[in-house]
Amino acid sequence: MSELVDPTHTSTGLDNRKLGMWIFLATEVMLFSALIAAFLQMKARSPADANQILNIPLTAVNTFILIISSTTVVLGLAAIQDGEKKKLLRYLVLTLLLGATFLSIQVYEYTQLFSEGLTPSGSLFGGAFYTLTGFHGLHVFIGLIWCASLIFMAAKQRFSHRNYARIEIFGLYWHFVDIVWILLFTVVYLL
Amino acid sequence: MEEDQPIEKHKHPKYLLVFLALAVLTLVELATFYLPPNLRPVALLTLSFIKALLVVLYFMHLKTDSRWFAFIFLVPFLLVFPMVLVLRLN
Repeated sequence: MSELVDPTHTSTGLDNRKLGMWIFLATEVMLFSALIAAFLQMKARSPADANQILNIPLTAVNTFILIISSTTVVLGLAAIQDGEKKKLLRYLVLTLLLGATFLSIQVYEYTQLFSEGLTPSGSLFGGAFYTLTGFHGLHVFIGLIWCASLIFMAAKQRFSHRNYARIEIFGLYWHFVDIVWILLFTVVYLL
Repeated sequence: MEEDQPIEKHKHPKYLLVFLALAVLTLVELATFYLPPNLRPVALLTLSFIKALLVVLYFMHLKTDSRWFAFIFLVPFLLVFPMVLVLRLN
């Protein structure tokens, strides 16, 4: 009897796991919109040159790193959809390394800014800057833990061309984190 | 068992082309420092919007996936736009 039940069948025709992730991402849109709005308000009340202290070349490199990591995730998904398990593992490891590099550069950036006097409690701009970029960094960190768990599963051959939903759902999360950074790079650093 | 069955190859979007577009647009963003200051905000916001759209459509597959997912993702923007408007008026 149980063989007749398809566990992925839903009354909506949509995969519940993907649906859940998209609903979660919708709430994340609201979270980051509020944080960006708060940042813009505080920046407007700060000196016009408050963001001149930020290191744009370094964060441009970080932007490229996150874009590449988004590409490796989607290439990993494409690989497992075609049944290429070793390729998936390689792309996931690459994603983990790129994400870790992104976070390391962010930590380095923070230490540089601290030494130059930009602290969370020192000014409105500092408080808004660390809150916004810190929340994004936290999302990257959570993504790295998630990615590490998928690498562990991929190494144990737990994914196949029929079983890749976990990779797809992680990909949605990781790409969203990438999109947020694309916007932050413009709003925080370039504008 | 499933290993014995032939694997049907998926038709994937050209992901490397999307990556190339994202990389070029990021370089263009950096080049906006040469634009007149009054044009930069519009140029930068347009460029970042195009980049975000490329990621959503191709990497997150909203171009081909269920329209429900696109709807769910877009609903919060109904709240975001009034918020931005109110903040602008303040």
